[in-house]
Amino acid sequence: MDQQQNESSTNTKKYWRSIEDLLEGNAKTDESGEFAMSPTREGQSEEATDGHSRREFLKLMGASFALMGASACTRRPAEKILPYVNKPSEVVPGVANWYASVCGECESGCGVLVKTREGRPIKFEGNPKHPLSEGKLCARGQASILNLYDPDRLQAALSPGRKGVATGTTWEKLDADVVAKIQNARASGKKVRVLTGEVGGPSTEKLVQEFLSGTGNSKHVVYDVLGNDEIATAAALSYGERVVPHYRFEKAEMIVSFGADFLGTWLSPVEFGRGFSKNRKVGKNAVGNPKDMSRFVAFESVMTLTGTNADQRHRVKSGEEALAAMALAYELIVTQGRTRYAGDSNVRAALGSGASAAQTLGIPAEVFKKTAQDLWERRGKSIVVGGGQSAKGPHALQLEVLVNLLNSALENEGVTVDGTTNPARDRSSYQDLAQLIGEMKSGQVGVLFIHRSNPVYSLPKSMGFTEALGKVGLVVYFGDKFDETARVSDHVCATPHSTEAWGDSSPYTGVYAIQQPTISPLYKTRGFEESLMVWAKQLHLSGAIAAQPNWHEYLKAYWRDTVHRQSGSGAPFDLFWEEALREGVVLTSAARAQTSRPRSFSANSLGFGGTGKVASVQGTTLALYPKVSQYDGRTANNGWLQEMPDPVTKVTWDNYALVSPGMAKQLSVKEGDVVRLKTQAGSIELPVWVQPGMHDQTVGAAVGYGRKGVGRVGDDIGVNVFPLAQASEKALALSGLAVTVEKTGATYSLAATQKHHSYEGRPIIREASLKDYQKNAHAGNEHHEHLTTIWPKHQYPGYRWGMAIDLNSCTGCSACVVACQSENNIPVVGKKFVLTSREMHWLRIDRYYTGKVEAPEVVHQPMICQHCENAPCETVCPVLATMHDHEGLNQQVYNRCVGTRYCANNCPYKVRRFNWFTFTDVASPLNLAYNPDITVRTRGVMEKCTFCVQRIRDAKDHAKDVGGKVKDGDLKTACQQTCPTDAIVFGDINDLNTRVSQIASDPRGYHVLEELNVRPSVTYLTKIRNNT
Amino acid sequence: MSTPEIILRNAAQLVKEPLIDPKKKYADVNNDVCAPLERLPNFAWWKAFGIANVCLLIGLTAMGLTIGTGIGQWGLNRTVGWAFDITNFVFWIGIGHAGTLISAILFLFRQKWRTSINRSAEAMTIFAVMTAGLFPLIHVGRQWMAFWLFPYPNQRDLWVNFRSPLLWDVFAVSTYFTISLVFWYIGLIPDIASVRDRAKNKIRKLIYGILSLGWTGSARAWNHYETAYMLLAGLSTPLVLSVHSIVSFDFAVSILPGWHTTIFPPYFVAGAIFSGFAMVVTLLVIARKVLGLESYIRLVHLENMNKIIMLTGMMVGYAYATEFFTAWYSANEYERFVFINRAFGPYGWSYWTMVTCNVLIPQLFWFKKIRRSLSIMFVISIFVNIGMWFERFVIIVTSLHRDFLPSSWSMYKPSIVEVGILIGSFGMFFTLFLLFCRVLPTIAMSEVKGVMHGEQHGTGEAGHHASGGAHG
Amino acid sequence: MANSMAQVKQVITQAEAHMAKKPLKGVVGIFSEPESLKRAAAQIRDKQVKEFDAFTPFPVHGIEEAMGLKRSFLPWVTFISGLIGCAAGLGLQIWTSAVDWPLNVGGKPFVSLPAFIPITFECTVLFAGLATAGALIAVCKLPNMNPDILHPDLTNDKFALFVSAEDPSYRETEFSDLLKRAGAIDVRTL
Repeated sequence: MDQQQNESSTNTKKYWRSIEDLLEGNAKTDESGEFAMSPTREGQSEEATDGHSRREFLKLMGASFALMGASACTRRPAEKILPYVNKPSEVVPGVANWYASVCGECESGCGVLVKTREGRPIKFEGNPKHPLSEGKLCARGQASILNLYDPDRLQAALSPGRKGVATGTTWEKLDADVVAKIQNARASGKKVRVLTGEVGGPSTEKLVQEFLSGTGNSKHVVYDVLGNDEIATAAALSYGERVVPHYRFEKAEMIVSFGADFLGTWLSPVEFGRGFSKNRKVGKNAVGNPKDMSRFVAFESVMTLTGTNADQRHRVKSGEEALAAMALAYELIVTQGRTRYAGDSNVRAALGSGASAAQTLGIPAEVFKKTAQDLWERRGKSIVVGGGQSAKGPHALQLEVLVNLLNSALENEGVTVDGTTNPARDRSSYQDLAQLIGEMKSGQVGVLFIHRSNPVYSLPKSMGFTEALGKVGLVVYFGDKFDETARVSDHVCATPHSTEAWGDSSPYTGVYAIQQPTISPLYKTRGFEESLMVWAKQLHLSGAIAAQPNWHEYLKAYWRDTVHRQSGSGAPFDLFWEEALREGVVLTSAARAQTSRPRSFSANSLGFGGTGKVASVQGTTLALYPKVSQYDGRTANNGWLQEMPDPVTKVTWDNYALVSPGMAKQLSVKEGDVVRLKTQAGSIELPVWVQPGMHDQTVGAAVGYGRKGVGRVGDDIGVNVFPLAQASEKALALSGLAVTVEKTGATYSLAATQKHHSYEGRPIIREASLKDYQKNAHAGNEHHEHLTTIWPKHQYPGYRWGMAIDLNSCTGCSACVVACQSENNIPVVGKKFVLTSREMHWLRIDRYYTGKVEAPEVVHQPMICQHCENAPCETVCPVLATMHDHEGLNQQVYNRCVGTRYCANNCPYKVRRFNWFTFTDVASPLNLAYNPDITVRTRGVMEKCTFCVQRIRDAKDHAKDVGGKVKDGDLKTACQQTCPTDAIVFGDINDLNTRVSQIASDPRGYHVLEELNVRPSVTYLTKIRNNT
Repeated sequence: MSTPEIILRNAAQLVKEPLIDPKKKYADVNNDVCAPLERLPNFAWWKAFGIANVCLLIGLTAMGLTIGTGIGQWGLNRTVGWAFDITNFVFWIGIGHAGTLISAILFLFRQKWRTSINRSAEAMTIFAVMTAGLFPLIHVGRQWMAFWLFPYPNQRDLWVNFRSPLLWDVFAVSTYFTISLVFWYIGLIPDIASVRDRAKNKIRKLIYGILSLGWTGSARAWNHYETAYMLLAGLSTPLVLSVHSIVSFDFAVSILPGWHTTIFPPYFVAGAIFSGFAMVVTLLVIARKVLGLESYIRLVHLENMNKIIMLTGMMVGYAYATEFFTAWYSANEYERFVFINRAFGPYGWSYWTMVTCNVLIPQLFWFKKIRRSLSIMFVISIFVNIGMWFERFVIIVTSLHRDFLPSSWSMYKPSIVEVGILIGSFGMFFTLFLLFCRVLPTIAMSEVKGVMHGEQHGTGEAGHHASGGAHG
Repeated sequence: MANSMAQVKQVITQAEAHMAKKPLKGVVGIFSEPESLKRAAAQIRDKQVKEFDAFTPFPVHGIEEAMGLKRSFLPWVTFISGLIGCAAGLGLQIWTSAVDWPLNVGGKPFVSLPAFIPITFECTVLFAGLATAGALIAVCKLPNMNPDILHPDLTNDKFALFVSAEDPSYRETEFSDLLKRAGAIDVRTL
């Protein structure tokens, strides 16, 4: 009986053969089917590829940075900063200090704790006190520390004079020139412009305003190429106020997304992932009702990380997301006649074109019917979102307006969609940018400052930005690389890393966080704000700027005058300030109260501000999307991120043209074949990656590649696809672009870490539908081996460490992969060696597809050393380099290992990693990023996950100091610590009351390959899909 | 050899074919066998020696590169941790086995025909094991630490893991080498004495005098000698069986589907004898010609070996079949997959190469004509060695590259460096063998005489005259 | 057991005699084929001679009986050293794995007997083999850097029977005649 159920649960799934086979047209759908590896991809010859080997690159570096690197160890900022918990703040050798700060990698402004050892930052972790990140961080946040020690960063101000050569200069000279030019501009009535991306910091905003007001005819233009212009504009139309609302996924039990990659790249992925997962947990891991979970329906063109987590995913051609929204709105309001707008004739009229939408999209009407019903049942507890690349299409505004309509109709407005506590992400405006370019072209701009923005790289030729620059009197660029825009600037102000400078952020109304430096600048860099302060002084500007000696004081003043007051804290400012530094974040009384009111939707907005009706898009379309690891390419020189396997494709070190198996067949191309993508804007060539779940008429291409001047790691990795974007007077379209795809005949090697995509029906992945699970908590997990042993088992008195991983919570975001890399000094090997399957990640995330190739179901399975009780690796090691300790850890003794690789051969999980070469001889200052608690492994030695043994040691020492045992939850592994969805739980499994013991005892718990009787210490929980 | 001569030999088969050319006398044995030692090497030898040395140099360069920069020079990856390295190791260990089988097991079975070939076969064993022993040492990531595999307490009083099959290898291979060497040397002593006694110049006399330990051929010594030889043969027999069994444990004791197989020990031993005999045939077909020993290493010897090759070939064939049956019968999805993948997966070509060379081609030996045709048996013996090399490659690589978790499935592609090392191993082996042919008697003269002895009854008189004449 | 002990004694006396290394005195007969040698040896033995020896290029079957030599005692050496090797091998493994520094390897017990068998066996063979070879060399009084070569062809195609003058029942003329009659192609007295 059990057996049968197990059979059915594993074998009734449909599999298909290799994507190649599909192209040959002999697709199979029996259980023997598989995603086989494609011959072109396997056993790549090293010569065949131009390898960007991190190792080689590092060898180049030489000792040029050694001096500065060494000096960096002891330098601490001059201003008073306070550690998070440990007091006193003096450095105790061997003891880490933690400083609260703000992650500077993107605009989300997650709060972080910076771990410093002997005065140097070595790791980022989320700040548990911070309302967004709640102690979590994404992959790019984890990788931020590497940017601090990036050897290719600018080390002093440059005055390239638009000649493209990095001519050094002094700050004095630079300042003098800038000030002079501003005065000229003022005199000659020319304009002074500041062009930035989204700058979250309120103090920064204020400073810029004051600075500009002082310089007369001036304006602060904000444009972020991946910004949320359309959402804000739609909000202005629908609700009369230009805001990007605060989406509260933690309150949503029914989620519909139109192409919004909210778990990967959209707005605030960490917060969204955290919120999203809260309602996905069931059983003993549940936050709320242990028997129920939210349902997530995704309509998207490109297979995104978010899409892989959908219970139901429907393919929509890029550019037709709005049509899908229309279809849903029509079904809900017109057909089913539900919601308060059912009677509204204007609305009904406006939705008229929705009648045929489902048909046009080729999506069965039942889909919308069911979705609409589910939404209605959970009205007020559901959420509809559209954003990211889908909000950069031809009908983006329409999409956003329809999303607003749906949320208002479903009474989510003010509940799951909060327009009152909106993030400071609504400044980006294409209109302003277009206007600025106009001014520049007509030579009205005397001085242009560019900060947190790289327009020369990210704007298409047709906008003529680069030419326009030629007409600007003085172009001053703020950045840490001599990159695309820097090359055509007069001056380049070398900016520090976020851990080197002061700043603040206000991710949501009433939430204030401080970015405090944890190390004084390694190089002669100066922050954007600091520069403005200096120039303001030299320009003798009046106001607050004049009042404060420097940026730090200015920031402090702002907090005194604004934040301290709003916070309603009774404490005197000095104490308040110290507390703020210690905690890193302050919530105003208003924010703590968390009162949000629904905005009223105006049906007129369904006229879409005259941007035309929602219509279908003809032909094949192109979608330019951001990748989880690269986003817009700002940190392209970060080896950890370049080598982080894409959560969906598992490809590293490149971007590529995503095509569906159907399209690949029709174009008769396979993985690695180079195709030419032609749009109106231009044409580029990219290798093909055949991606199940792609829409058959949509090609996807990741932005953020093909950077120039970022450094030896990131230069010319992949191809820059921004030039294909389509600029109109209303917006810059990144998706839904009409494209023609043709095969060039050339081939290119893509380095993927996973080459086989089906789990072959093996019981290594266990899943069930929510319905089955509700009937039987063991659903999909009925079959267990009856295991015996002829040996007396070893005793593990005291602690016994174990882990539980909930496949239902894991979204595959890969934050843990980078966190592990940062914590454990895991080397980057470079594309050349990823191609030969030699990546070193201790923690990998296996991604498997099942079901139909058009709409595959996806499961992400984090795979690490299972610390088996009967570890097969230990038995075969001839030199006892790996054995068990008394706490159940499978230890690897690096200095005893001779490197027979027998252990790796005998590891059924293939989690052991071998140092094929010396990967770790990094040149200064990259070596400063190393965790001093971890041995740096030499060549010829095996390594693997240690359950962060150094953290265990640390926790035990601490417990010893305070007396008693390690408290459950005090000890977190690096992967667990950063996991936004709490999919990973670690602790003592001898103690039945620990969370890990509780979760592991869940009926969903199983061990991968348990029939081998190796008795892993890692328990996985079955994946539950709410799809029936 | 010319056709009429073959016909003549075949005719001789009708009566019991003599093991040694009946025309030969005791003295001829010494003259014929020692001749190569006492004249300058001919051009053929120099040519062979040159080629072998070039190969050896290629191998040394490749090894230097590997030790100097890292194992990354090879085509291995996180999924396939072993490939050419251990393939070569098992291959050469296997080659060695024929020597011991001929010298020990055939001795216990009183197979007189072994006497003409056991010396060179044993030499082959020694050199093959030396070559094989190289690989466990260079395949590790930190070759300079390889001595940690030997059982001694390091400065932290840490010993070794006696549960690891790799450590069993260390013991098995070193014991095998030591005992084979002793066995070989004991066998050589009387012959070295012969060389000493016929030596013309002083130095030669001195060197061989030392090597012969002053052997006089006293009957009292012979009495103990024969007992000791028999005892060593008795010890070598289980030893040789244990060595390849233990080598097979490297795989059988692991948990990897395709490795974790209980039939490995007999299967590997059969394979070893199979490949070993093939190598002996390869060597002797050449050696007997180059050294002019056709009247001692005769077709009957080669034919007998070909019979054994055919037999053991069928044994490995049976083992291949058994593996598939077991995989099917086990109803274990991982087992089944591995074997289907082995035959029809991306490495199928190597599997079918193996089957063709090891199972199909040796069947030609059913035909006496082929069994006794030097050129054909030479070609077949080469095929068998290729096939047996691929057998190990198939077992190691196809099992590793697609194991339990499909996510880590991968492909292996050898690098030029690995190929270089393989070539080098052959270079080393042949260099040593060619030197052996120059300095030591390639045929156990005293044993051959023992065999002739029986046949000489009839022609005893002739013997008298001949030797008498020689004396008077 | 007893007679093997006796043999040992005999060997030792022979060894002592050899140590003295005085010039060989006695009569030697050279034969061209083994049969006549065997005949001669048998006759000499019948004369109660102990101090005599035969020299042959290869082990001549039946010469032991002819000379009245007893079976070699070497099997005992092999057997005992084999036992020692077995004990040593197993002992080393158990002591290092379970006594000196017990480590939990793959959850297996400290004394994993099945895993210890191969090495135990190898040690048995190694000890036995080396001891046997060593014993052979010792019992044959090797290495001997200046052996008495009675005739250069004794390792080629000649056979010799030598009777030492040391022997109490040594009678030179009688023995040389005996050797001639037995078919010696050449008889010399030293």
